[in-house]
Amino acid sequence: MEDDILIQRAKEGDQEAFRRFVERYSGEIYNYFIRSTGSVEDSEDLTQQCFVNLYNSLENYRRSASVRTFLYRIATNLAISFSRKRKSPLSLDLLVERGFDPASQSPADSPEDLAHAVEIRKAYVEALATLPAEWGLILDLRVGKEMSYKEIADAVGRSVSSVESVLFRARERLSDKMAPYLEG
Amino acid sequence: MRSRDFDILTRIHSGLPELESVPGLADRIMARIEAEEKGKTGRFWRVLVPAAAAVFILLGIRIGTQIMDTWIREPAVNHSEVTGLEYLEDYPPASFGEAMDIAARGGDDE
Repeated sequence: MEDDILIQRAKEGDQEAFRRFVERYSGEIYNYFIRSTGSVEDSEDLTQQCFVNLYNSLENYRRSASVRTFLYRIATNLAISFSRKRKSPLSLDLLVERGFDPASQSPADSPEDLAHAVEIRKAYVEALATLPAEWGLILDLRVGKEMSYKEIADAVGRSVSSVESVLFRARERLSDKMAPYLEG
Repeated sequence: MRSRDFDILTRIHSGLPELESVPGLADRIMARIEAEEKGKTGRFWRVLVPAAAAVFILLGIRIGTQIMDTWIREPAVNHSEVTGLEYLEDYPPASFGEAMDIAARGGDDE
């Protein structure tokens, strides 16, 4: 069933429809918070709050943007406000502790290549953590969630040109930080 | 050069694996929503009950006062009638006492 139909039913009081929507997106939103906060516990709390806020603002939801974009708008606001209060940068070590496999999805063939790939990912995660919170979120929406510029603009409350500018500057800064790994 | 770097960075970012969602997260989210819904109802009653009590008390006072005025309280006593007084001034108008009093106050009869 499509998102809009689930949300329409939820607006009419169908809790089961809302539960199905939560089940569909809670993992994705949870990982969005993991990447922006670097904290597993806070990410779970923020994910819960995000869906509570969505539920409370169902009446305000209009179909001008997709419900996924609307959800990310709520999540982005929560992530930015959280990062203003406390910033614990994402660390690969922390993710490994929580069962994240840094070698998964790696195209490496040899153990050396694999070790190098893990090292690059670690450096990338560290470089990502040095970006302003909103830049990291915008980058993740573009690259991780494959959203269009327009969807990102709706999700973060910026203009499309501003989103393009942030993405360019974020990539430039990451490129500088990752220079030793990008040469050759 | 920059565009090649950006492509590599995009590939690295896309390749970042995601954490498995915490088991039972959806259940906890739904439980929290239900708890907040109940909390909202509770807040409604917490405001409504004292407000209703205040209105009830004020109405009681008002009705009680009307009952007192209508059925219980004695009519107001007119003291001039009870004591046989004709005037409330110290001396009857145009009397000797009033003339002396005016003189004692230096001729000012205000």
